[in-house]
Amino acid sequence: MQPDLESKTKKEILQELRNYRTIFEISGAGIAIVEDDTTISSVNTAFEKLFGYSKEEIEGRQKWIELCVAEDRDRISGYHLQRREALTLAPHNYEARFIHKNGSFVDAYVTAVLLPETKQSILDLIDISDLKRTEEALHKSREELESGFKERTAELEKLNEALQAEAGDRKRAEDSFKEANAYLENLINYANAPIIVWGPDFKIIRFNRAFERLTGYRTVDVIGKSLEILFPDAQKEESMSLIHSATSGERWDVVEIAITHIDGTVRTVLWNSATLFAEDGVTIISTIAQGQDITERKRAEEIVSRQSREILEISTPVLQVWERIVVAPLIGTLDSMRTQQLMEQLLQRIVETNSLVAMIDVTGVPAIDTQTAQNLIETISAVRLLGAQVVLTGIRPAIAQTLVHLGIDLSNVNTCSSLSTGLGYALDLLKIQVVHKA
Amino acid sequence: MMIDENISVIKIRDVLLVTMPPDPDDSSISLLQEKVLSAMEQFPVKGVVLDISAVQTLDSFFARMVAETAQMVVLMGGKTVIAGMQPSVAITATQLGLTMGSTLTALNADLALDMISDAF
Repeated sequence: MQPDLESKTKKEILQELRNYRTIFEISGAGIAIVEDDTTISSVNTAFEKLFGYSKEEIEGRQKWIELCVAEDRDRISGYHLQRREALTLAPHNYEARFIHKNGSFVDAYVTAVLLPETKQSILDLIDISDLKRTEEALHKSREELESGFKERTAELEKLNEALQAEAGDRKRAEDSFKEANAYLENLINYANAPIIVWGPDFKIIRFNRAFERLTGYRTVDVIGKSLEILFPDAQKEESMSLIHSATSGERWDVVEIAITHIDGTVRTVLWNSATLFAEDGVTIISTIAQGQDITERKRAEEIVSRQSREILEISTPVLQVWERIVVAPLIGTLDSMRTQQLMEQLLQRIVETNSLVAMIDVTGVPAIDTQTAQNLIETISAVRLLGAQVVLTGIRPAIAQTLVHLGIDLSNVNTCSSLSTGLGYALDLLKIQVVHKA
Repeated sequence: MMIDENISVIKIRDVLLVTMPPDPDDSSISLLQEKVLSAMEQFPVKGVVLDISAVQTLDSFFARMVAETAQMVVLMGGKTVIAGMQPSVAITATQLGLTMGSTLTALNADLALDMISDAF
């Protein structure tokens, strides 16, 4: 354009100048011409609109640099100086923030060039406030997003830590659980008492060493088998029904169930059981039973009871002293148990020996009370029902006194003071006469 | 009648021997009384021997009927001996407080016959 300038006529130049002036005025971009000292010498309408100042307020009065926000001023005056040193030093385009007359910010995209052969620069400003605001909003939302993301990450990290801590806890819990489990396992396995656990289907789940010893089965052989295999054939049903009742929630305190050994011997075992329910309290998980082998004790008990029975029998002997005469010498206190025993023995012996007279000797009885007397009277009437007679002998003075004081009526019982007089009386009853040899 | 076959009333010499079934019911016990009394009327006997050696259970009705029959026989000029009561029956009877009153008892029918003969 410049080389053409010389050759053009003044008119043409003026025309062109007008054209440029019009372009300058109607341009949508704000255009300003800035002097070397940054005073704005000329602006267009768009510039006026952009900053809110009128031409009169700006041209020759306002410094370009003063329109900038404080933080941009150094940069822009720097560009201004650099541009005057060398064209390429300062950027051709830059973004800057300016202050509107009303105080609001105006963001603009600035294109700056030096007018040829002058120190003036021409600035072209495109309002990018909206763009900038959008950008800022974008930036802000991005920051928000980022901070949100960071927060979330932090949260996640925290959560992760918590999880790890929990995992640690769980691990520890698991370890202690394992430990407890192992402990219980040992407890069950090596317990002296036989312990067995079975499921709701009555299949054996657990079987300890003591049980192995008790039955002779090995654990591996019985796991999963029905409980029935443990019981002797004769008691299978009874035992299973007991176990059914235990499993239905009824707890046995102590139940005797016979267990059969693999070699066929039967052991008596005292059991107690407990049923484990699921969380709903209804579903049965398993039933655990613990036993105590009482076979030996049982045997001992039987011996004791047999011996005491024998002692009881010995304590009430019934002896035949003559043909058709039996004697029952009583020694010690007469309780109802002994009286019963005496009655049975006496009646039995009377029938066996065909006796007509039974002598009951109470010399060895320390005292007779109402109960004892009642028991004796019962015995006497039972003997009479058989068709024999009773002679009560050995009534000592003390006993006679007691009987009278208690008002016990023995008037229809034959009584004698001693066994020998009783025997004489019995012989009389039988019309037997004993004579000395000549 | 079925019940008749369970109770036998036999006259041997001058004694009526009555044998009771193992488990007498009330009607057969009532029947027993009638049969004994009619036999007493029919035959001139000294007494009645009631053999209950087969009886395993004894109730209050039976005990009362026997005691009553014995009294009736006494009124008709005879005497009654209950023979052969089982020890277990005797025990139950005494525990229940059942008595035969003043009725005579004997270990067995043989001894009962002796007792009736002795009276004369």
